[in-house]
Amino acid sequence: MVINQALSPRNNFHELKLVKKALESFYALGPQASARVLAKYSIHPRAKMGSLPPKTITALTAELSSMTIENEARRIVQDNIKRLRDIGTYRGRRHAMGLPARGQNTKNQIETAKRLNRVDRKG
Amino acid sequence: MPPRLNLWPTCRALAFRTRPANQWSQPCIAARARSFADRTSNNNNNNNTTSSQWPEHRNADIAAGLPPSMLSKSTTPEEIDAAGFTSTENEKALSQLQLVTYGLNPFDPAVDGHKYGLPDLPLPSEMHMKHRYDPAIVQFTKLLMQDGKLSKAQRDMAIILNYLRSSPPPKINPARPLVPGSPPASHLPLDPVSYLTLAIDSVAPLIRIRAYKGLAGGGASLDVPMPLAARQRRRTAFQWILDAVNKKKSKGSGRTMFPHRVAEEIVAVVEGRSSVWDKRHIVHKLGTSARANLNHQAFRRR
Amino acid sequence: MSAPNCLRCLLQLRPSVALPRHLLVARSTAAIAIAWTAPFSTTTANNAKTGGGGSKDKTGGHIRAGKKIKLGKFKKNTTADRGKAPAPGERKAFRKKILLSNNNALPVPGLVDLTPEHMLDPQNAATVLSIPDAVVDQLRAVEAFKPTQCWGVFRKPSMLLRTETIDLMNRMKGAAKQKQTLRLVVTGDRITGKSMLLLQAMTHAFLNDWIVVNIPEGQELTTASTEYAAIPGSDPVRYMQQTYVLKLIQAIRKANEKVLSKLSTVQSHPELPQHIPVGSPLMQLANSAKEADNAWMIFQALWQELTARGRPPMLFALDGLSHIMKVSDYRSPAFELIHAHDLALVRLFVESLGGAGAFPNGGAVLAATSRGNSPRAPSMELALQQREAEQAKAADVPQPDPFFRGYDERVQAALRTVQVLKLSGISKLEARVLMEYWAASGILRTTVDESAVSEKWTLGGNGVVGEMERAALLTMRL
Repeated sequence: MVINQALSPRNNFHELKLVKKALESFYALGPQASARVLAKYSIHPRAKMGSLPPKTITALTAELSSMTIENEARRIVQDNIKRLRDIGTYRGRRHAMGLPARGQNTKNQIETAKRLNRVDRKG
Repeated sequence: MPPRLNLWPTCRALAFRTRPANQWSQPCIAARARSFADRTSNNNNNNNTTSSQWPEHRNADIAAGLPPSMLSKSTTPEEIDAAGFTSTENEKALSQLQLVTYGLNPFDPAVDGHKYGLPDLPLPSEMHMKHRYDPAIVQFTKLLMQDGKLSKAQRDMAIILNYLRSSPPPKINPARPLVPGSPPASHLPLDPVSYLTLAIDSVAPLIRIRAYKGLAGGGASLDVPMPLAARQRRRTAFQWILDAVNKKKSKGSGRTMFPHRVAEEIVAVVEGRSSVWDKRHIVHKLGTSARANLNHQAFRRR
Repeated sequence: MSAPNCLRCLLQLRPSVALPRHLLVARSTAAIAIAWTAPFSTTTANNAKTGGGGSKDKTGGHIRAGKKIKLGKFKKNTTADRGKAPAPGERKAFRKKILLSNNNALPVPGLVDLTPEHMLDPQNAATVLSIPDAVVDQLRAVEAFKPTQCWGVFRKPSMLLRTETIDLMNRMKGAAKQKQTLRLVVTGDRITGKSMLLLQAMTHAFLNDWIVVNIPEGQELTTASTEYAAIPGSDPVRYMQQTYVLKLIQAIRKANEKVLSKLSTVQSHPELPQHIPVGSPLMQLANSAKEADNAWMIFQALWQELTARGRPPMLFALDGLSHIMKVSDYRSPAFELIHAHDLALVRLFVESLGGAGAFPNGGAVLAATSRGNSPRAPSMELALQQREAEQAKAADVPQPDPFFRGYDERVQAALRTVQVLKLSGISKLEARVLMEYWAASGILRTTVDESAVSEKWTLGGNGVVGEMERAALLTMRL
């Protein structure tokens, strides 16, 4: 599995990378969730990838594979947007047009909306 | 000012002499002689309890040559009262004894009523609050300063000086001679202020090149060497050193890193390793070649 | 805004646009593309010329850029190449580096090395004595020296024996003689010499062949910066800190080698992975800690051995007490913050300080508070104030604030029976002796007379040692 490889330090993460940062590099895994994962496996927040015993890495990999992260989490968001679009709401339409959905001005400063608001949302 | 230790006049002021001495008729000397920071009661206790434990030389140290009996008299007025000596003169006498313990002559008019006497006038410049540091050090400190944080710059300068005095004596490179008349290298760490000043003065350029726009004809500028004043020379040299420091790699972290790098560069200057010497050389060479320009018509005396 | 295309580009385009459609049929696909693009775009034309979009520049060739304003024109390029960055840990090592001697400082005539008797004799109050070299190495091993102290200025590590020092050493000696444990907390204002007093206590212990266990900074245990794990089978759950404990065992071994090499084990430790029979040297037990995994187990075994009957007295010291008198930054698997007293090593210290785990061979448990770097620990502060008032037999013992909820019952229980030693400034005599030492080392370049001593003593806030050092040693007026 992709995540399996992703967390093993030899493949993707440098051994000096903080475990917390490594976890947060996954989509839908932010500071809160990563802190909880760390606490669950008794890893202190300043631990680096190189200091983790292989046993803990395996446990973390198993934990990550049971969480809704990366593509699974993305698909949920896409489904939500698609539902809005299908029932023809204003928000769905704004997403389809790549414009802000919550009443912001559109004269300028809509770069975030342009980047993110689309029916097949990636980020 | 070596104190004149003469106990005889003090004894004359004690109350068992029937006639009080004339010059001690002013009131309140005893009160004025005691400083506000001095907690007399505690000090008395300390002296009483510890004087028996200390070796004899230490007792002598405290009393500045007084025998212990005199000292105990001076520190315990109650005992004296009990013996029947009660008068303001007695207090005066005790205060004079106290002055003697500070190493002062109580009969000196300058001392009268002052705990440590009056200072010798005119005051030396380092006694003035605004001139207490060496002028070169003040100048360098202000050049170290960033964002107006003088206090931080002063701490940095103190770290630099401490580094210089704890570093081994520099090995002076004969190819890079220091200012003539400088002390030998082995003496430098003992006097960090002159170490620093010597380093700066040695690399300081004598001139700067001033470009007169358009004087050379055809829009070309005319380079003319100009002499620098001592303060300007030091400023240029120190800024060159700071430039060299900024180019160097930082090996550590923390707030002592920057002053350490500056100090290392200063040692490098004295040892002739620093790139600042090349800068000085270039400026001097330019100046030598440009000195012919001083004969330009614009600079001729009319 | 200027037009994005320059005139030359438009001129290039002109022939193809002008050609009639039928003439283009036989031409290459590239040419068709030119014909079908908008007349004001040269992109495809240029792409075709360079072989179909292979070039890096997607916008094609010649597009005239508008007049750009260059901001920060005079700003120098500061990203100069400065070579290789220091290896991981090097920067911190520089920050924590401790220099203990300065060959430029003058050797002080008449400076004698400490002997065990020196620190007990009240006649030696207000003298400066140097630390013997062997003890310096031991003190370094237990990290008793701090980088903020002024050791690097003098030729040889030396210290001032204060009246408080002599008093504390005598109390330690008395406690060891009666096989009791002196439990004491050193408090006081900033830089009054609290850590220094701990160092002096450790010196005394080393000189008298005690066993010394020192935790140099309490914060290293509770700021969630070292590894932790729940101890299996403990109820309520306690946590061990394997990596730190491994480091601690190594420090104990290195510092107490002289004492430990004479001792051998009196108990069997079947739970250890390595078989250590009864009667084997204690150093072997200490040496068996190689990996963090079993460090805590070995530490427990070592502790049992060290506190067995017939051993030398022990000194257990910790600096930065308030860090271990609070809820730590670690979290349990249930995502709750762990109280510092649930960490096994901290618990060991707190129990020793509280009197639960007394040393059968006598000794001392010393803790020093810190003022520079300390989190707020209201319960600790209150408890220490209360103990101080009780010791002074004051009429009014401070009471807890009834409107404050942040008190910690566990902390108050831990500090219920400790003694408190409050440090303040040194006396003028001590200040004079200290300044004479500075002057004799060639560091202070003024005559030390009554007025100079009084000046520095006053500048130092009535003899606060650290402030006096700042006023005299770390100044621009050298």
